[in-house]
Amino acid sequence: MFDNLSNKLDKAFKILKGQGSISEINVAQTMKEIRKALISADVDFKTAKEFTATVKEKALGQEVLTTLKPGELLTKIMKDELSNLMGSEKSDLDLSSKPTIILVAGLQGSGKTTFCGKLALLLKTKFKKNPLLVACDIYRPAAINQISVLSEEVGVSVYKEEENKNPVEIANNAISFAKQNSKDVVIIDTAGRLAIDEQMMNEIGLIKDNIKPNETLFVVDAMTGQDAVNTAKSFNEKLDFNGVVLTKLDGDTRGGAALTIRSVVDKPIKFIGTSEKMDGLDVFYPDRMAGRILGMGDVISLVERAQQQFNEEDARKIQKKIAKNSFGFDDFLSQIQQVKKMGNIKDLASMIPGVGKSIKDADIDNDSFKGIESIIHSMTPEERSNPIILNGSRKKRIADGSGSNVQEINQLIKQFNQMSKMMKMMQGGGASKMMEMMKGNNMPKF
Amino acid sequence: MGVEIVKQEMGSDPASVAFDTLQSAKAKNADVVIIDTAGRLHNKINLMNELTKIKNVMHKIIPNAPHDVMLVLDASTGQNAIEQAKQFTAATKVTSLALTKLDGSAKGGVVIGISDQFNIPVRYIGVGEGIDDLQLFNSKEFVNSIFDN
Repeated sequence: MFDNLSNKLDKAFKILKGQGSISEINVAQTMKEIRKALISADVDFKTAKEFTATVKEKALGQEVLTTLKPGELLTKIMKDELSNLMGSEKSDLDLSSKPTIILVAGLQGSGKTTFCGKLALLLKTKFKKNPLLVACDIYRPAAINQISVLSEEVGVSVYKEEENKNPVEIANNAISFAKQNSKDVVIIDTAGRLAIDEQMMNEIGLIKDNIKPNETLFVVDAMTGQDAVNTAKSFNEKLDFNGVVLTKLDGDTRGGAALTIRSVVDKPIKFIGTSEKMDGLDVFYPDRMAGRILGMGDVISLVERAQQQFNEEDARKIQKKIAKNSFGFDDFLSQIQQVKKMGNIKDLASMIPGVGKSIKDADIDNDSFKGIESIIHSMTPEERSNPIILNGSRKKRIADGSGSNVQEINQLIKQFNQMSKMMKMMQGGGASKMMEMMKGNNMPKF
Repeated sequence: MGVEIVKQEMGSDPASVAFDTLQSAKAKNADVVIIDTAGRLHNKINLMNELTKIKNVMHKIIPNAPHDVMLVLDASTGQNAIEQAKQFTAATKVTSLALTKLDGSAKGGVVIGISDQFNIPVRYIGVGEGIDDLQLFNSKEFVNSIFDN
């Protein structure tokens, strides 16, 4: 799916390539492709249409700067516009009232209860608050149990009335309890409900009217499709919520629903859920989300980071060595260390467009180089600079020294040989050949 | 409902729960065993491996078990459901689909693509929170409902 969007954009931008400015003609086809791409990212079709119309209007007649190609310029306009739409400034919770009452609502299975636990932990640790969780989901079997388990995990007390079947009453009682026990934030978890279930929607309306919360948050699954429009509208009509919580963003969905909701109800996205663990709650960054929906990755940060870390001097030395065919394991090791300096591998990987999220969660950890490093460290200087001499008995010694086995060493040598070969190819002006080899990644070529 | 259940403490190994369940089902002569698993995102490799393990452990007791692997999809899920189907099929060879929450405003149109692309039939639909709100999937009715307004 990911490659899909990059490919589409790629195709779209090919049309623009080599044109001096953006005109009505060259932009029309591109906009069509972008609209298709947005819809396949679960953006509502009307929202996608409006969005491309705005981008087109802004792009038309713009002179293309000498350093930018029209495609790049358009991407920039598009990303800026998308970030704009998502809300340019960060939106915090208003915690000034004592106690602050937060009502949490959403569809079934959207992640409300988990979010409540995460929010309680965040408020407790970062904001030094003394929150109270309230179990107002009286319908789902095990709902009260779930919030109790979570409250224990985050070390926050929970208010529950297992016999009471009236959520309005439970909420009211919980607030009095909070006042008596000097709790300064009350987080009310409610049952999941369908937007078209009139009775249930009236119930949540009644809860809201009774407790008059300071914040009403609408929790929505980031994987939601075209139905996000209907759901967000209905909940907003009933609750006029203050903010949106986007959950399950650790999946690989593009999350177009975020754009839909934002443009349909014009409420800020306040939090995003990024794991099942209780600390997996983040504030929302509009520009990152914009990049995610477009599948662009954060190329700029990646390039910046690489520039900071790759020492030009070292690079030149290595180049010389490759030219002289004397690239050895020592150089390999220093390459690895440079890559490591750039930071968390996972972070880096997720910045690459097209590759991005597909490997973000592929459980690559920073230790993945450890085995290689210890093998190289177990080699003598001679072996490092002249790998050809590695015979059976040497390999066995290295294996013993590094806690690995001969197969692993053979594998490393194979990788090393492939890498040196690739490097020589680049030296020989074969950079395009190299690109051919890496083509599987489908990076957008603007 | 009056149906027997096998369970273990929270935090137990799910594959071993499945193993025990099948063993006890065999001993008690139960004719259908339904194994409910934890929800998981399809891009979490470890959790998907866990699912493969749960599946693999079953045929140690009953040779060709599980006889059906059902992927439950939420009707409100968008295009990401395709990726879900792909990954779950890779991990467990999904053999049928159940589409839930069709009583809402979501139409679940994405299953058409999934069913076609992976050649997996939609077997059941969920149309309410009640225990009897499960219906057999009817393709004609489903298509009609997509074009209803």
